[in-house]
Amino acid sequence: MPDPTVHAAHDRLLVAAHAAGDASGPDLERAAALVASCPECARLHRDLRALSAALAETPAPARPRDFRLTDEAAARLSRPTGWRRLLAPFSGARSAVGPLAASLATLGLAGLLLGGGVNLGLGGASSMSAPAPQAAATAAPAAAGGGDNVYGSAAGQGALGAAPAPSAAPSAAAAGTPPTAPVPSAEGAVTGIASAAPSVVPPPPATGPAGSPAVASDKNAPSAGVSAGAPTAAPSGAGEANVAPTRSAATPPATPVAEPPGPGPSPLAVGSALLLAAGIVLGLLRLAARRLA
Amino acid sequence: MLDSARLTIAARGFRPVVDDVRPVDASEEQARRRDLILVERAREGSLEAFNGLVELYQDHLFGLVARMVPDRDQAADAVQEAFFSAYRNLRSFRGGSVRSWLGRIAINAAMDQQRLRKRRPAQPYPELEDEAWQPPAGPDADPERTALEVERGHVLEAALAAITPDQRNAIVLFDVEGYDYQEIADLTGVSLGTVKSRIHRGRLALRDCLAGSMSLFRGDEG
Repeated sequence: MPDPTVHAAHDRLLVAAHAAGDASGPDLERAAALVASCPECARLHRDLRALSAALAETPAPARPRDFRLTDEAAARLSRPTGWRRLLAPFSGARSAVGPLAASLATLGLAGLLLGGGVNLGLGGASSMSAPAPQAAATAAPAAAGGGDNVYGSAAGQGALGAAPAPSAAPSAAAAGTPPTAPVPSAEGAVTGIASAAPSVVPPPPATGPAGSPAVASDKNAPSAGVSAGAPTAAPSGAGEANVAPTRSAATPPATPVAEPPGPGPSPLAVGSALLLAAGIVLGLLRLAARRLA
Repeated sequence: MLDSARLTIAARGFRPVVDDVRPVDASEEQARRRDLILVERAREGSLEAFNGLVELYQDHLFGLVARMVPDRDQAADAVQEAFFSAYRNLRSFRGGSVRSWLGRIAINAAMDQQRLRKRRPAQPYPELEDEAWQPPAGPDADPERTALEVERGHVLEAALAAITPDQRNAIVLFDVEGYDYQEIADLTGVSLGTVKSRIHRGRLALRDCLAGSMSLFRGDEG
């Protein structure tokens, strides 16, 4: 009589793997040893093999009903659902979506090419020739637009004095601020020059030794007038003008050139891009619909 | 008929998902051709052709699903849903064996039914005494042997219903349906080792369930 406690310690899963023919190597040796030495393991091995054979011969259960489809069920199943339903109008063989998509895309592409050609032909030329006249045109009103003669003349001088330096004129033109706006008081020439400078916002009156034009002009009004008269001080920043008014005459100003704002995309380009996008979207929808169909 | 140009075109259009390298005898090849013709006609809208496929395979599919899903009504629903799904997705058939294709759909439907059942548990196998489980008896059938097979069928089905669904699926697909380990792994979405483990543990569990009835099965081995 085999000792059941001994068999309980045996690896049943190993015997099952051996019965299924899945044990190999050391596992196979161990399983074979168990089956050979333990009667319970041998019985388990036989039972598992018998069960596997019996399962293969199990009779199939009889079906309780007929599973053929009725016409109604087929019609219901043929109707598209979900995404297919939404995309169904795009998938028809005679659908006008395909030609429409192609037409839209072609029109959009042609429009983009045409708009691009116009931009290249006209916009390029204008961008090359625009700055100088634009600067002159904008500098002149700035010079003449000041209600105060002092500021106007100072600005005019600044503009004229900056004329040899190419960057000065656009900077004066691009200041964009009315010449009279930032002028605090009657510091005249210096403030006029400061207002003509493009992106240099007059710093607040501070205690910096060479910092603010207000301090410099307060203390050295005559010299400020002189420096204002010197046209080369105009393009540089106020602090630089105050620190070295004469140096800037020799060195070209480092003022960044502010480009005039572009005219923006033309309506032709926008419309063409929209047409192209619509054509592409329609084409993709048709492609997806035909794949789902 | 079977060598028609239409069939040739259809067969070329069908790209088998997995090459079946098993030897195919003449009758099996003929059955495949017949199935491809029916599928092609069904894809053209012939409900009659599709119902021809249903007639051919509904017994097989119900036998497969009923072993995986304990409740007979739920099994029938799963089979019906499998045929619905097949009808809806006729265009997704990429060739190969129609029987295998329908089998995969039915197995998926059965597993869906099992998941549904897990959320809404019901009594397993409520109709074990159903005489429909009897195997068909031939003219020279031995009544004693037939009775033994019926008894075995009953106890095996009861034991199968008692083990876990994962183990049951693996055992049914391997021992009853004849799928190999890799096919079962692909069908159930688990690793090869997991499939083997489920089969081994499932058989052990079956044997424990049948502890009092194992004499029914030991008879064959003397």
